[in-house]
Amino acid sequence: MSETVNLHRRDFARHLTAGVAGGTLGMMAGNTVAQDTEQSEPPKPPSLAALRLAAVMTECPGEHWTQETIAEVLGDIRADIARGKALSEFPLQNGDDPATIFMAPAPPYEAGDAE
Amino acid sequence: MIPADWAFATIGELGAKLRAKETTSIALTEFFLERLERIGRAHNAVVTLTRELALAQAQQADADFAAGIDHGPLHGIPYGAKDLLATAGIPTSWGAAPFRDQVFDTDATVITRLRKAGAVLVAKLAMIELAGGFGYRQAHASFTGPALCAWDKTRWGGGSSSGSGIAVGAGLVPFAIGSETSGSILNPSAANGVTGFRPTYGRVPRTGAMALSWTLDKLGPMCRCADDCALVLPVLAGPDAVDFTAMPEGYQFTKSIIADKTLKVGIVEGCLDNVQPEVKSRFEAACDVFRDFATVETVALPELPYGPVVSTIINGEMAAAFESFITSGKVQELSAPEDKWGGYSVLAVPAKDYINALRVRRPIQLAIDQLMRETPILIAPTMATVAGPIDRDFRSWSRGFSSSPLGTAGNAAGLPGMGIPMGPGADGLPTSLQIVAGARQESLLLSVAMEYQQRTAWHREHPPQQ
Repeated sequence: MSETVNLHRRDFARHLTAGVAGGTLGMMAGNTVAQDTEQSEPPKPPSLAALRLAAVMTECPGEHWTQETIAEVLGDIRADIARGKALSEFPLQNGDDPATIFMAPAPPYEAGDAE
Repeated sequence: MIPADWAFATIGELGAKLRAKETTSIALTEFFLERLERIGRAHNAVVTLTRELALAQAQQADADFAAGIDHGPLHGIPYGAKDLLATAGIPTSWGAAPFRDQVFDTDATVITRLRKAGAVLVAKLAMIELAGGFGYRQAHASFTGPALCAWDKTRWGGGSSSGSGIAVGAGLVPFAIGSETSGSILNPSAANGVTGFRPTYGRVPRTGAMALSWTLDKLGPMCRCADDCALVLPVLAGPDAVDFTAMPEGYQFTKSIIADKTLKVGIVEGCLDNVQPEVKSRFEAACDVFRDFATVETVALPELPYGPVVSTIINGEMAAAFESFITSGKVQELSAPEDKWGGYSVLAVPAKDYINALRVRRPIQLAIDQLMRETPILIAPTMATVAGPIDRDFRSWSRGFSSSPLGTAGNAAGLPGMGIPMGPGADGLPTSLQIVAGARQESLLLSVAMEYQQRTAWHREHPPQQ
């Protein structure tokens, strides 16, 4: 089980509420960015997955954030990140626009066809 | 009294009996309502029986016949609709407990069109909650309970158009309407041994259908055979005042001339690598049938990120479609434990990933289009296994098996596809053949399926009478 999962949800919520997200995210990322540590090393940023998890937990607060839920959502986020990376690596040119496929032109049909 | 074997009659056969005055729409409607109540409930396939509406529509159908008015092949034929299609004044639950009392005041476009064609709506059919977008992993993912396969109640009936597949498979309706974002028509068609049809994206307007993914959702018929799909699709298709993605032209089936083995059919390379032995042998037998009327060869699908594209598009669009449902906490009222949290991560998918998925979609379309200029029909098993156990996580019983990427690729590119029965597999349960054609090539697709079904009788197999 990851360190993230071991972070109790109440602790997580308390950190967020107290506005010390940096510290929380640092803990989630497994580093000590906001803690009393040596100042010689530049702080490591939290992981992208941890940042996204924090954003989701902030947007959807509640008692449902069990350790199991956190672990599952973090797994989903990591999968999303992997998919995003795969898409970013696909060789696209600047002019390759997004395809909303088979879009028909604005119809000249009478309104109410759908009733 | 309707003979019991009429439960598995085709639309064409029932229509002939209506016109020969061997029965009435009222009698057929009562017959299928009784089966839905008795058998459908036991399979968790039914959300709402629309008895009052159905009897009124059937009465009108009979009155029109008596007056010499014939609305076409669906006139007087009962059908069921996946419960994500709005029906005026009748609850439309989207398969989800938080929406079980939701009532719209208008009908979905396809419901309106079926009514105008004289079809009789007898039931709103069960589905995976919110069309499966929240990542369900087991069958207990609907407020109506796990969908039990038409052939064996200890097996899963597939999803997300679960009730539509079960109801057709168990002879509870002659046909049903399902929806597919990525697999939701073909999967339950395979599990229940029915002929499912996924049209080209935009062929059928989705007005009044729950949106999971606006650029992937399709509506289509689930029937006993390709001939019946060819009767239903023209009624559903055509321009719509609200759904601007609907194709401006309507659709009429025109049988393609398939002769002299000039048609090339491509077996998707590697599609038998990780399937059950019985699925493999059934598919090989199906290929032999194709060789009777086509030139069959193995082709490689272009290696493209079909899965990441489809998943990212669904995630990005469902995040918008269900944002308030997720952030308000209502999501916690869903049935499957994993669905309660399955919507969270999508809120954090960045816009650039979603846009990139749409950008990669174009090369996918072009590459597959190029392939299908040479090989207009692609085939593979629909599913790697027969219907799985009802009480186990999908990941446990499907471990080691995998379907070909044809289904995902077809959905990414918006291509029409069918799942048709190809004979019994393990434990006597149905196996299914997937056929995919190029965009807007529904008539070719249906014609090929008809050629196959003229040479086989698997689509006439059904579970023992109940």
